[in-house]
Amino acid sequence: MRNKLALFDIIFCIAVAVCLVFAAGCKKKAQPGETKKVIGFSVVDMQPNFFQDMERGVREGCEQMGFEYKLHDQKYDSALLVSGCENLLTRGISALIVSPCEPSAMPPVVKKAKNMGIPVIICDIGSGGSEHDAIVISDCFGGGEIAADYMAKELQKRANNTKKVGVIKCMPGHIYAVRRGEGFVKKIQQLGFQVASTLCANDVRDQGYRVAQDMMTAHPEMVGIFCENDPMALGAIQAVRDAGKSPIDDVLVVGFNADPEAIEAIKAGNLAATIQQAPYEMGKQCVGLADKLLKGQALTYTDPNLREITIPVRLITRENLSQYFPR
Amino acid sequence: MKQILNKFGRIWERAGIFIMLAALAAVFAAINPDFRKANNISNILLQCTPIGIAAIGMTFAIISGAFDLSVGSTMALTACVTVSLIGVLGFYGAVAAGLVLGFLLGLVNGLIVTKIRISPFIATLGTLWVYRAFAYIYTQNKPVQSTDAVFTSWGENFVYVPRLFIVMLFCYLAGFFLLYKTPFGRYVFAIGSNRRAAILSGINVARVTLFVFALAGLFGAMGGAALAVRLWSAKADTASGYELMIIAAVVLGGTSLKGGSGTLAGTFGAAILFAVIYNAMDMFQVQSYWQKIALGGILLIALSLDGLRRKYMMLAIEPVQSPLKDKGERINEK
Repeated sequence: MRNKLALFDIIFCIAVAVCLVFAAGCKKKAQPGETKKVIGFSVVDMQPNFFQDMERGVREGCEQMGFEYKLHDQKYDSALLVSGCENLLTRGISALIVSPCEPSAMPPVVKKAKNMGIPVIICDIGSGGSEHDAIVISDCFGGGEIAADYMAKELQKRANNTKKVGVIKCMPGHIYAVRRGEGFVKKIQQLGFQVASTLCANDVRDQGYRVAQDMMTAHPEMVGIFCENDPMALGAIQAVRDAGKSPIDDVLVVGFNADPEAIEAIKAGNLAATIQQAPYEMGKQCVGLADKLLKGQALTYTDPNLREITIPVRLITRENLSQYFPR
Repeated sequence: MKQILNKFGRIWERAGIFIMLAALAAVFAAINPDFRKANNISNILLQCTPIGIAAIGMTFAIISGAFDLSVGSTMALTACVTVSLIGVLGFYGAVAAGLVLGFLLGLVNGLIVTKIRISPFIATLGTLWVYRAFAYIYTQNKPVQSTDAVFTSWGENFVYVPRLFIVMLFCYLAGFFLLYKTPFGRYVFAIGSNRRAAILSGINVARVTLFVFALAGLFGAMGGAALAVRLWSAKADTASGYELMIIAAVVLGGTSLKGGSGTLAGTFGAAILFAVIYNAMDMFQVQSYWQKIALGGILLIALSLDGLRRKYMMLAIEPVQSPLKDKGERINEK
């Protein structure tokens, strides 16, 4: 009886080992004789729609430009970011595109790539001060300006326009998010408005709610609030509604990011507008830059000092919602 | 049949993890040309270091019949402190400070277990959150970075061998010495295999337990420093979930979860095995969802191996009708 059990155990172990080997072995065979250059892409996480779109952009860009494509998923783990990029580098890639979950872990990756003579292009998020070849980011400053244009246009139609607005900001460390507010403030002041209050809500919804309440208490005459991201905008519209006002007609709220919840809020008529980044275009642009670098061409930067290349963003309102979000 | 099984069981117990490691590495190397590149081998040796080093302390803890669930948080907190102090104390000073901090954090775990008499599982589950929160408070959830030349140079290779891996080898040497060449090491085994007998034979169980936890903290801090060197930075949320991977590595290396038996060599092999599997999944382009399944599968195998080994040992020696409550088990494990 015992022997039989032990035999079963051995068979079980062997079966597991065989399964592991097969699992490892069952992938498509590399076509022989192919000399396509390979582009490696390491993505933050494949769960959010934003990064799925970005990945699709990189993948389709590689297909169109005749590159082979290798993907790595960091799953929001900075240790996996570094080891995954190291692994990509040893797999014979010609250029590395990274969307880092943690920018501060980028310098060792870029150093390794540089030692091997492989160019690195960072897609969004941030560079952590590394020696990258280029970083592709959304035009956050321009997005802020677009939001200001929209808000001014809407408010000027109204009788209650006091020309006083507020800004709810992200954490000070997020340099790109901060630019959204800077662009908004610059443009809205040019258009003759006054920024009555600027407060930080640390990126999150509940603080957005509290900060918006404080703003409306201090400045009851305020007619618009711009939020540097959508979670804070969702908090703000809740605060406006709890104060018995409409977040469209009384205090116009505009967000940034086009998160799915924000799109729902626009559909439901609670949020006036948000700014959508273009992750697909960003991903595709990265492949184009890699192609240029591999051909030895110089890149034209939006900001040469930071080696930045910006991608335009677009305004999403109730009117054009169906065009960009068909479902 | 029985003899074959006995032999197999014994060999498996001694060197099972290395057999698995060699077999898997051979298969991967045969199938995948990227895997067998010299560059990749040094990557694997580099990638195994943070968990490999932290697993030394955990091996002591588990052999003594305890656990340290807070080790991932200890790694994060000490890594943050170490990196932030490089500018002030220089790299070696900062590492020393991190090690002292890790030792103290471990000591606190030990005091909670031995003085307040909370079970190690619950005590370190509590400090898991507390230490992690300290890391968040200390860094304000901002990454700490350093480009200190000495700091970053430790991530480089010595010929093809990563310097961090050499550090890990020295850590294991120290661990070997402590576990096998000192009375303390014997006490750890004694406490783990039969706590009562250990007490009755005059071992100061509380003091040994305290020191075991301090060691877990110390090696956790060393692992945290290795992780920081890998990333040139640290953040409060790094190394989250590492405690389970470290425990899995220790168990996969043949250390019994019930305490009293285990080897550091096994832990060493298992840490490398983990890195090999992670690396191979990248090399074979295994989808991230499947990677998680593979990781779960490895955990299950690790735990069932523990049970299976027990069973083989029962087969190897005819069960004695023992007056002890748990028949045979303790005797078989010596």
